[in-house]
Amino acid sequence: MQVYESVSLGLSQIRTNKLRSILSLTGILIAVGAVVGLLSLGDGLRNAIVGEFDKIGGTSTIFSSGPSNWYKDSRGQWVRRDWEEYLTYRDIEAIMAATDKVEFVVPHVHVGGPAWNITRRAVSVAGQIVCTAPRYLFGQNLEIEKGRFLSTLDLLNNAKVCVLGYQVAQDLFGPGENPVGQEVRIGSMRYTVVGVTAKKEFFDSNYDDQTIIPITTAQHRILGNDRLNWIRVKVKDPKDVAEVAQIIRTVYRNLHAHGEDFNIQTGEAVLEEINKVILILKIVAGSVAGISLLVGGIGIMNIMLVSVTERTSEIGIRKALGAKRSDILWQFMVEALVLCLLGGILGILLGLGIGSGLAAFIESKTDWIFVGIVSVQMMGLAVGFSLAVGLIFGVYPAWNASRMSPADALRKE
Amino acid sequence: MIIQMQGITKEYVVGDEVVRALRGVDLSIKKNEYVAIMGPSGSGKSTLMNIIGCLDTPTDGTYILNGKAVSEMTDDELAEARNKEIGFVFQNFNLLSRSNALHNTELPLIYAGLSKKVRHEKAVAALDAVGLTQRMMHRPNELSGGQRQRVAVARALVNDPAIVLADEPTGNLDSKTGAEIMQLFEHLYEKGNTIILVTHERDIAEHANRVVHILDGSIATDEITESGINRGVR
Repeated sequence: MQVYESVSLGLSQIRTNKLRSILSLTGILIAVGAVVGLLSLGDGLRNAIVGEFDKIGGTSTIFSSGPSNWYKDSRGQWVRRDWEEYLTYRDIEAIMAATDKVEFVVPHVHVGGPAWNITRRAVSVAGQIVCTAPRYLFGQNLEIEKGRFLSTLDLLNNAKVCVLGYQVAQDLFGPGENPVGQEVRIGSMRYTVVGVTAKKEFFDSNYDDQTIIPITTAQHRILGNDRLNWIRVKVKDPKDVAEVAQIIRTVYRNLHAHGEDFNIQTGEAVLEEINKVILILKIVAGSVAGISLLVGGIGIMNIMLVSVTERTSEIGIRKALGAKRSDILWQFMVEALVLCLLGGILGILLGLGIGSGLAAFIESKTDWIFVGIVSVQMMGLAVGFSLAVGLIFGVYPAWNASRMSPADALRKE
Repeated sequence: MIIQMQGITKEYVVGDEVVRALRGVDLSIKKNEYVAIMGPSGSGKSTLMNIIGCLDTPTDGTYILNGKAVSEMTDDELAEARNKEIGFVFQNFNLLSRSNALHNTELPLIYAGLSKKVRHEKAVAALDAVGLTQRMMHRPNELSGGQRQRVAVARALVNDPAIVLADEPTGNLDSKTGAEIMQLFEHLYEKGNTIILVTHERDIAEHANRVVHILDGSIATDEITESGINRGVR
């Protein structure tokens, strides 16, 4: 018997039992819908995160920092180093001298924290202090709302000036007053406000809660040393990131006794980490959806078993007229496969609906650009999966049917 | 010889007990014979019919159908034998209720692997031969008992089998319709078909040329009927 005959037979069977067929493929439909919907959100999430990541320099950025004080020894135990190494301004100068592929370098110093009190008269807000250089503004894609950002002169003079984050300025001065030129107290020192940054949200939106002071002021007036905690190198062309990272490594090696222990992380590497997290999310979501696919499959098997029992005499007739085992097997297999395939295709449509619906919901709740993404591969995967379910859960009932003795099957009514 | 059976036995295991349905049957049927197999229920008559029709295989003995040893056939070969050598007509018609007369008649041809066009032509011709040209597109539940059995006869003949095997073909029909069906068999016989009729009704068996009586799993008598004598069979 030709494949065409099996398919048309399976289809006509599905047509004659419409309600039952619809009910049994609903399981597959929902499962595939869930898989497609969740996976499309996973890809959408990745794109949204990458989009946000690009806003702060993205893949053309290289982060580097001195080695941490602790390291894992050969037995896997954490040991404190007996030597200290750290980045200084010398490293930045060396990097700038070594290559012209760098657009700018932003240094960064921690002055402890997490939060400092920034006080004006009786009003005090807690916020993070960022100690950096003029280039920070571009490195973070920040914009200035009032006044100006830090200048090179501020750095040379270890000037006691600061730039307030949007929210800090709101909290200390309110909407009516211009903070520029006024004095605030950070810790025990007085600083003159030279500017306010524009509103910017990124994940937990700490840009608006931070206060920026010159890095040299932090080094010389607060910390009393010339350490940099990390530096951010912005490469002109993202293509050159790996090459520049290598140059930075060489610079550190030349300038430091333990230069090879410095951490150098490219935006690429950060992206990889993001991808890993998304992959884990997708696997978890996929497993949950996979369980519903299993349930759907069992539903299909149930229906097929009923269908085989119900059509015992039909199987007997077909066998008496010359149907081989394989003919009967295929008749029922095709029925299960067609049911699952239909469920899969309808499920993809449902999944597209779920994905775009949830994406719109997420967009309305955040300011992210969030679009569910469904790839052709994913659709292929969904269809493949539902066919596999049909194959796995259809084979037992079909096998049962094909093994019936024609004499016994004919005797049943 | 179309059918050659020697020492056919069939045993079923029911629980702990072995039921011996056939206890050594020797039976030969020539081409264009018209044979009735008779016997009360439980005599082994149905078992013998199943074995003749390749629906079941004997426990022991040899069965040669149209030159091929059925007792040594695989499942697929049995299916092919049923498809090519046997045309079944059942007491309860055994038509597919959701398919029309034409599709029912086409079924053996589908499993024979014929093309759609050839199938259609042959099925139409077969339905024509049993006088159902006008009712081809009707489903079994839209047909009378006699018409259903005609469809079954058309289906039995459509693939030109070596034998037509009819199991109580008039059992579910009133006497008038039954007589019509028996006339149809008569006609088939005259056209050269080999017909085996399984029945427990003597007057139905009388249509055949030869009656084989089964009793307790063995052949009790094997004789020429009056019709046989009239037709000059020896």
